[in-house]
Amino acid sequence: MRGVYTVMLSRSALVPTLFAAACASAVARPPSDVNGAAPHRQPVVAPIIAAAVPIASVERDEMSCERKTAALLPERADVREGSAVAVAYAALQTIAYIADADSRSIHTVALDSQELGRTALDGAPQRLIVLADGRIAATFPDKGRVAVLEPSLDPSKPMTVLCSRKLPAEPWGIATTADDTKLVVSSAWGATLTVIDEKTFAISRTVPLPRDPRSVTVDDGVAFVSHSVGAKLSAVDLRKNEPAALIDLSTRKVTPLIQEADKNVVRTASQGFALARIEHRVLVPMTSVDPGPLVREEAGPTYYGPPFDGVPKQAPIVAVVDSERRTMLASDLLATSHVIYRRECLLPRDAVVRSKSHSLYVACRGIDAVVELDALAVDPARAERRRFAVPAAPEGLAIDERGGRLVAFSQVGAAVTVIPFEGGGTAQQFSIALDYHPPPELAEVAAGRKLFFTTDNEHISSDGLACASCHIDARDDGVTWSTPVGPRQTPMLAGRVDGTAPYGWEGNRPSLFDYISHTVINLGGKGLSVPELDALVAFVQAAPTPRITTAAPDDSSVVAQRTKQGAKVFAAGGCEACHATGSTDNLPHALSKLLRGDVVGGADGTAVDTPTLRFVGGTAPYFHDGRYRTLEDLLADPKSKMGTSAKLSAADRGALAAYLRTL
Amino acid sequence: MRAWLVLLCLPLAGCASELPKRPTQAHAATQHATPTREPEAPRAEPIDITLAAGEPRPEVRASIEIDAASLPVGTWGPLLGRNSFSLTTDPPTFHIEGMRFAEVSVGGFSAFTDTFASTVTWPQCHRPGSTMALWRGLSLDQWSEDSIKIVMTRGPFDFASCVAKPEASLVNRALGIVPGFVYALRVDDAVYVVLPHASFASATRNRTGSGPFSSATLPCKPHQESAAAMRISASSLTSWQEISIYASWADPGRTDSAADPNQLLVIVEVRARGDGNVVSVSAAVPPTTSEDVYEPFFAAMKRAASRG
Repeated sequence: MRGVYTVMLSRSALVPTLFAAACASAVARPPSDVNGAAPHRQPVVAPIIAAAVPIASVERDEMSCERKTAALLPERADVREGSAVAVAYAALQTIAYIADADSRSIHTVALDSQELGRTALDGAPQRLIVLADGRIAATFPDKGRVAVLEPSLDPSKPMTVLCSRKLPAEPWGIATTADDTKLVVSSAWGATLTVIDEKTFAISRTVPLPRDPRSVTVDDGVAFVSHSVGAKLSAVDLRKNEPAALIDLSTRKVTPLIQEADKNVVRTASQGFALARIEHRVLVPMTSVDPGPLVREEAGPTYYGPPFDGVPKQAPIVAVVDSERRTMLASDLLATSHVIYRRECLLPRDAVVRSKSHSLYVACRGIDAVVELDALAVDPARAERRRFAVPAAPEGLAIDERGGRLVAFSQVGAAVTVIPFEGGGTAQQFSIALDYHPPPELAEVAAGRKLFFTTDNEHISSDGLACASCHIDARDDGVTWSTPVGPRQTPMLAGRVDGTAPYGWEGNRPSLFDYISHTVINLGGKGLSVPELDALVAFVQAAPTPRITTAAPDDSSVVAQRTKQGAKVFAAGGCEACHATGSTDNLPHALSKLLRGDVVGGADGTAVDTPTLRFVGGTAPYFHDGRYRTLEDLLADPKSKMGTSAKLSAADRGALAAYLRTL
Repeated sequence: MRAWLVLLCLPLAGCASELPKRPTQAHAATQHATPTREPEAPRAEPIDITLAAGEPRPEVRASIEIDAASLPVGTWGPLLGRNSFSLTTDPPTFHIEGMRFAEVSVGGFSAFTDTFASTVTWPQCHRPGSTMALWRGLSLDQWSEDSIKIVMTRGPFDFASCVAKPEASLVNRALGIVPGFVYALRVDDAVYVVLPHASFASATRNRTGSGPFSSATLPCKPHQESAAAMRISASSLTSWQEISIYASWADPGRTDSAADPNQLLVIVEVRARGDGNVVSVSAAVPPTTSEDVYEPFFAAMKRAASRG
């Protein structure tokens, strides 16, 4: 490798060439704080392409997925799992394809020089994979599609969108089978796994999954799917027409500091965005979560969840699943210290294994670092070997085994970082800038996003948690937290804050600004400044929402008819009295007091502010205290005081639930 | 709610009453216009943040693996030698014969010789009934880098007399998987691991503890994994060597801070590998800690790695 130095290139001095590698070798880069994962500030290699590129549509249902040319495309690395970055080998250089959701582009980068080309698209690519013949398949959550693209023989020219397929809401993770016959795609909001014939690109099967499926890997004909909410891994046998099997990833903590009775507390998990695989071990980097006792026997020092007792309420863990037996190999979360570690990987976003060294690399948002773990450890999160500081928000990882290096894509930093496996670690790494020039009017939103995903900020929390630790991607974690006022479920934020004031389950915060400023204090944070709070408010209001497909008026399918019936029930049943147009009346209402310690509903207690029903279908469990597992459970219980829903027929309640899922 | 906020805020810089206030109501959420497209990320520098200080997770500097099938196996047999065990509760003391450094387990009670056990719940004696007791420890005979003699005894503990009746013994030499520091012996579908005193010891599934020495019992079955973590100070390594030379032990816990982040973290694991298991030992220290402090341990790790 070139070693310690990188170069800043001026656009005018650059030419679109395949072989610009020699340029990048001469200017000093300041050292970065490797182990503390300090913010990455080194100069980067600038892109060589022009900013103005035509925008291609990914909505190509009718088109053939066949290649347009017979020329040899860059050969993929030996990878079957999708990521935001994928490595491929051209005749004379190594290329990385980058799925950049911010610029709505797929970048083509020469790893020994700089960006060669950009394919601008009308959708935001999330994950991509290089197919056996060099084509690229990518997911577009905002478009609800998976598309196939053909790279140009000249990498400075845009790729061609060959075809695409409409999938359930928010296609996210993608993987291919070992024999390259099937593609499998998870849909995060749609909660499904879609199986696609890789040759014809026809959808052969759609399998329902629990909420928020994310990354996918296929081992011996079985697709394993991680979930960003809930402690589970789904297993779908692609050879059988069977429902998904669920593998429990819940844990119990082990530490000499806790009481005997607490050793049996079952911890849930969140942030399961990533997956990797080695030797029949499926590795799931995630965050183990203990929300604390729903009923507090006594006042505690923490507002949300239990106090620290050797294992924090949110702790990094890599669940290891035996892919043959489909069981977690060890479910104990082992404490290794008296204190809460700092700079933990609490927001893992991608993972990749290097078999040669048994290394698991995890991209950690929040601390802007890639951590190298022992992939064969009982809990790799507790066997950290090294960490590398990278530009802001690492989102994708890939292995370039031929080049002996790791490739990381940072979403906010808009750069690709190349990290040699051997040598001095960070001292040898360098970054390549991507071509992206966002509109300046979104600066506040971007600053808010940065803050929202930042861990270890003492102004936000006392134990390192970020806003995104509970509000995953500004949504929710499906967790009901112990609080001094009773159990409170994490509310989804994206798409649910405009027009829904006041805020908080008790409705005691008149504005988002006010609500966020108090929430960080409840998290033990020292408090944020006005500009910081403004930025967070701006981001929360702009956070991406699910794209729900609603039935057309003339849709006569059973599902559409059921939904229409549900809408009638909603209107006739008086639901709109509180949930006007599916939203909220902005008023508090007393509810039944079911749980000891919950102040809601009592004469001396606080009432619950009516929550909006927008996106209610994907935010289980339900009620302020999460007591209902499904919408159907809630509607059937007279104690829920949801109008007269408990008196409806089962069919009407089912129709009502179906309608609610379209809001 | 309000009372909670006040309580939480008293020691902090920003109390509820001092929280930032908006200059106007113009930012009320309902009055904001929602951008019509997803946020894009300007590549400007992010807002400066104040990173919380704290201990970083130690990095693994060295690790070794050994096939669990290659470890010596201890089997229970007839009683060997004098191995009695009894308790007196006032003052709380246990009396053990046959081992200088040992640990005892009676139901939920567990304690080591040469340590204060006042913090654990002692068995309630002078009452009817019995439970199984296990006492085990180190025999200092022929202690070498490569092996150490482990003696275990088990039998019913009679609550009325506060005395355990030895019924079976197990004696075998544990292999020095990190020569001179970490020894392992297979016993009853588990790996019994002995290593120096730890200021912090935890293990999955089974009890672990620490006194003059640390121990962990890690289940060792196909397709199962378990782990133990010990934090060991440099002075503990010195005390450990004094045991082997002088058969005496000075508790380093009285001078060492258990919360010292620079202590050596030793993780012993039983990992699943195919249809068998391997035992691994990993040594980790924070990135800021010099390996020199733990040179004897890391040198032993290198010797273990070199012998294959």
